[in-house]
Amino acid sequence: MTAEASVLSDLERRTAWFIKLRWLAASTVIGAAALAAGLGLSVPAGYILAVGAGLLVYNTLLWLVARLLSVRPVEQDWASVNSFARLIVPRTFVGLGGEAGVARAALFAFVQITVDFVFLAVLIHYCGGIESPFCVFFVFHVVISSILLSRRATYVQTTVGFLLLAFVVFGEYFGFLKHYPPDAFAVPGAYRNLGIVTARLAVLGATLFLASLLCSTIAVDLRERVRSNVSLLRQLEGAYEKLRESERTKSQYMRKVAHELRGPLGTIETALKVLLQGLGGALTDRSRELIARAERRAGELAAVTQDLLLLARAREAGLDKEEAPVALDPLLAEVIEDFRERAERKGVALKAGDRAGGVVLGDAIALRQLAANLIENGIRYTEPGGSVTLHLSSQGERLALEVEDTGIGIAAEDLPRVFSEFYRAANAREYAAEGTGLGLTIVKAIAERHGGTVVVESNLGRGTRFTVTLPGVHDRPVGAPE
Amino acid sequence: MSTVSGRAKILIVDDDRDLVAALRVAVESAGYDVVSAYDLPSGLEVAGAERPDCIVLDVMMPHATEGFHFVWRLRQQGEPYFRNVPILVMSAIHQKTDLRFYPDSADGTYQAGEFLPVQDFLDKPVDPALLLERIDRTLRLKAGA
Repeated sequence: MTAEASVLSDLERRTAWFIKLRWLAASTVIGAAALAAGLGLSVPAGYILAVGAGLLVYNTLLWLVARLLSVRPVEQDWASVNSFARLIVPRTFVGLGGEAGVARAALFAFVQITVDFVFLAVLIHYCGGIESPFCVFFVFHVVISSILLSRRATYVQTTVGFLLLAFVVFGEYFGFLKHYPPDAFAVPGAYRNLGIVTARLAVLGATLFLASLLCSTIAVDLRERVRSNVSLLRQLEGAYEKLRESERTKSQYMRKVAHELRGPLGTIETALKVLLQGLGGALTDRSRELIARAERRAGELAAVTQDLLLLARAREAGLDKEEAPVALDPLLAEVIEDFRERAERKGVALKAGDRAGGVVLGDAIALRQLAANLIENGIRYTEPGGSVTLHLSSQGERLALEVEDTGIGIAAEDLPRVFSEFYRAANAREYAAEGTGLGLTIVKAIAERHGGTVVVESNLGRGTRFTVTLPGVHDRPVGAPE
Repeated sequence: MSTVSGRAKILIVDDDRDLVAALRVAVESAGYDVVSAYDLPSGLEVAGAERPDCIVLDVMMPHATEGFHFVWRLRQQGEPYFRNVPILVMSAIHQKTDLRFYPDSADGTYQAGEFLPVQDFLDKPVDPALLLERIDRTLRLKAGA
């Protein structure tokens, strides 16, 4: 069952339970009136019977409406639900989906409770007003309202109930409502009168039993919910563990395959190079061309294999690996130096921009790989005369590494996919034949394994900026004890 | 130790026989004699018997980092030859560890206590032209020492 269906069915189930309770209440009122009449108590039994009968009719109508609502799906969406209905839906349910259905069910419950208050006020009026032992029955509705509706709606209904009670009490006090004295409950020596004792005991008993019914029903429901949550949590934990295990297996498999491929591929590359460099004897032009093609393809395959190994490593790091403090600024300076010659060869300016000190907890080799992949990417897709700039800045508790180039850029439709495995944008493939399509996947995997994120912004033809944010370790120099 | 004909002798130690075959073609084409071995024990045996002028060594052999142990055991042998014979290490291992085993100096010597007492280091996959250049340089440094 979906979360929204669960919330809605929960509310409908409680409303149905509420209607069942009302059958009991109506029967009790009728029974009590008949009993009072039978015992000869001086109560307006006719009126009370009428209240009970009215309650029966009203509850029959509610039962029919509830049945009708249960088969009519809500077509409205939350945005078109009116502001009053929005106020009575418990906030906890908003955001789970299906709020319009929940709002309709909540509105139905709100109407019921309000009308119940009217019935109860009338009943109290005929049973002695402020002297009536039924006054405490308002509590039950307040409890029900607090279960079904928002806190604000409960306060509104409590106020309505209180005002109705006040209307009856002051109506009788000022005389514009007739007072029906509960003589039965006020006779001196009433404890010796079987009728009075029985009636009072019946009211108290009904109060106690109704209270225990309400509370135990809620408690059982809550316990069931806790039980189902615990069971759900266990299932989730199991599923998460399986997912981690499957991720680990996949990664280990990928690493094993890549590792097994790398050795033979290296041998093929070296053997082809021996031939290509003429070390095995003179070659015809056609042979040389074919061997050059084979050597190039072997090189491409070796690059993919190498990147698959790096990706497996990036994904496995953090699963089992111990973390150590890594100072980013010197690490980036080293990576920039590693790429300086390549950038100069292409005529691309490799610059260190803003530099902030900062330490992250992690795997230094992986973080170096992350920076290297971004810089390599920048140099590869930037025309001679352009630039690749690195900025390292502090953003509160996090460190941000920006690698900005003035290269060919990435089309808006390609941006969401640049971190996918083996994906290369069309203009990237056109501009540079080499490239495995795994470099940015590795960057993302490394960033995520370090609790970080990577985002990309780009203007086609004008340049691209990758921003990696990583959680920083503050006030603790590298190597200092924790 | 040069052979009778005066050509330098190179020992290639690698468990990948195909790679050894390819490197043999390259190294022989440059006028060196080549001897080979495919694991640690036979590598030590051939080194002892043939006394090559230079050893080209793979790090990762069937029993993990057998190449490291080859170097350590070779260097531990008493004769000065074993302490001084130049070793060129081929490996891709530096890509997955931050162990530093590059020699501290570029003059064909190594320092006492260095993690891996070897003269030079080559990335795998090996570029044959680069390998020949390094062998040549190593032998020149050795001759000048």
